Amino acid sequence: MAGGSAAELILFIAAIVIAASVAGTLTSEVDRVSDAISAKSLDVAGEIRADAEIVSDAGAQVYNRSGDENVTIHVRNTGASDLPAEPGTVDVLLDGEYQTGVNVSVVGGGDTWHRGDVVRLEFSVPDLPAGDHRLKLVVSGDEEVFRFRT
Amino acid sequence: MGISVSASAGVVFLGVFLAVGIVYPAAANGFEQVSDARHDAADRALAQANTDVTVANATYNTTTGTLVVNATNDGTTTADVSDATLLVDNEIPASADTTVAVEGDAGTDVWLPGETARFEVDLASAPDRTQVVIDHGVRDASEVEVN
Repeated sequence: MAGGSAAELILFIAAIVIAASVAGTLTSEVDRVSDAISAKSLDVAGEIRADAEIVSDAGAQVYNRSGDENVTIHVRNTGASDLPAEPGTVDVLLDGEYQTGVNVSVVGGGDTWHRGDVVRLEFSVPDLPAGDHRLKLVVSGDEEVFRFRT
Repeated sequence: MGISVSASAGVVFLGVFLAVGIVYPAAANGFEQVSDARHDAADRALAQANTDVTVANATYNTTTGTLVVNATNDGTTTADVSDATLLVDNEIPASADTTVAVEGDAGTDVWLPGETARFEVDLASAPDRTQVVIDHGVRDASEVEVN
């Protein structure tokens, strides 16, 4: 009888330990998932709030305007969030080629690209052949396409 | 045997209860943030659809070296004069060389629907094209007439 009680006690403790480890694993994994949901929703909300528009006039000269073989475009922050005015904020592709060395400067000065502000993007493209060109700009997931002719 | 099953089931249910308590606020906050951002985006799209600008004329006077651009707010939203951008041949002239007056008032920052803004820029040479950009990136361009 006493042996039976001891066995039942051991089984009871084992059952509780297993149940506690299952519950502990479940809560710690759910905690990680909820952290990921929070971070992802912040990112998604930021991407939805960010918006930019290329305001350059394609009918006017875009390439080599100042004689140093640069492509110069102006982009306006039409979103609901301020963005840092630095090359890491924008990705520029010209005719499918990723452009490095893009110079970003806020028209009117400053380091922050506030809502409604215009930035000037300038990058060097030596010997850009005459013809049609396609420039793609990506700002926080928002994609803009600008076509021009040289 | 019976009490082991009940007690361990209770512990597991407690864990599930805790897990739901952890995940629910995160999911609800995340959903709220994204839906707020979508609301903002829809508001911006509506305001953009209601915004319009038309460049009535752009004239460069060779004698005075001044470019005068008259643009009308053709939308139903009020535009900010300080946020309006004038591009001359894809360059933005220095703000010191540019004056903007809405219906003759140079001090206002409010450009109401139906009103005409007059941009005056001092330039050394005659430009070919000019463009006015207002809120939400809405814009209109025009050839420059040289007198």
